[in-house]
Amino acid sequence: VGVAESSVEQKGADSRTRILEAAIDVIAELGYRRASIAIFAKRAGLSAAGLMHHFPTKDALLEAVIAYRDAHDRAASLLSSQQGGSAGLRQVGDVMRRNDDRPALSRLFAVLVASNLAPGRPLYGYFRERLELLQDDLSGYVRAGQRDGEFRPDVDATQIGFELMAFLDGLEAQWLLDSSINLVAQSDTYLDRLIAYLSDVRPSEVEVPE
Amino acid sequence: MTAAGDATRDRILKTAATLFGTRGATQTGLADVAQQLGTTRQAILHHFPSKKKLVSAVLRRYCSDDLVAACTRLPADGGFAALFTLTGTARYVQRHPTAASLPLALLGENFSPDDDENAFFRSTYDQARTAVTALLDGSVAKGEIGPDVDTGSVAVAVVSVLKGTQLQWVIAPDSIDLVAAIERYVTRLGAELGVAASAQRPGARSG
Repeated sequence: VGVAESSVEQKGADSRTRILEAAIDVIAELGYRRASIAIFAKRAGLSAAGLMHHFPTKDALLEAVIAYRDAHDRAASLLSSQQGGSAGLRQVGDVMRRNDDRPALSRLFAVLVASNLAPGRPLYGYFRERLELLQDDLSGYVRAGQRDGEFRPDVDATQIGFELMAFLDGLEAQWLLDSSINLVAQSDTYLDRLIAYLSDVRPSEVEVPE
Repeated sequence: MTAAGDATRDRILKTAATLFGTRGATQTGLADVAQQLGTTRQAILHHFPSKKKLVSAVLRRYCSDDLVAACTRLPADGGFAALFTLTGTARYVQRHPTAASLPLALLGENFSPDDDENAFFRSTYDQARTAVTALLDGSVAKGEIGPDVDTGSVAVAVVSVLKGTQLQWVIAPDSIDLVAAIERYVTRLGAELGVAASAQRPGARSG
């Protein structure tokens, strides 16, 4: 790829990013249903035709926004990290810190999940697979901690992965609903307690030598 | 209203609840509800003068049986073990999936203060947290939980996990046993908070 060509590619990628960022803001303010290609385009500083060059339909744009959000999480290592144990779990707090700065993304996700709850809905398969992937990742952190001897072996890592995933979803919902809920403080406190529990040597079960 | 009119009204509510529970109310028109019932949009408007009124009626009829709403009815003096009564709600929800999916779908359309039913959900979640906090404070008073536990933040976590577990079950009902998931969570939470096993479950296990 020549210099000129890659610069064209870069320009294309830049305007895609600009469109996606603009779309996230619009969706957060108006909701996806009320937003139109014309509104998305205007916010991104493009004509409708210019936007449709990148995303031919509103649905295509929607899917791209979701993939963009997931890339955002992946960049935060939630999906791709090799770190396990408490270091892995702590990254979940970092993701919440980023979400706290970007409520539009969290709201978009929460809104879209809620309108795709059943098979047959356009994004049901996507969200189901994503849920299962994240649960596996979180369980993997716990399992790695157990393998390294950091976490107690007598807890079900899969159960903790499901619980943590559920916690994050439920906490974000309450935070979106009620601004008095502190997303970062609540997730950090929860993680402190969870990590302490997982690291607990359980004094009551330690045998006292005679 | 006649008994026949009431029955029609109930049928409309039930059908609307099922449709709203899978794709939300925004994405469901009165025409969709009518079509499902083999009737007309006009016939529905006869019972509910607007879609807004229909959504509100569906919400008030069918959104008080899920795990979050059940928290609002938890007793403050039952000790930690009272949290296990949520498995009864989980059992109910497993038999009535709309009871779980409907509040989740409608919540997603009411996050903003200017959404029609925002106050309903804010109040439900607020009451749920308040009731769980009171239950945990009661458990502290009984000496089951240490006095240094921040019961308010544990209550936020409990309501969060219940809401999220319910979502997991709605999305993948074949991969989660909701009753077992709730029971395992409450058991684990009890261990985390240092509740003695004997205080966790006085009496026979409900089954």
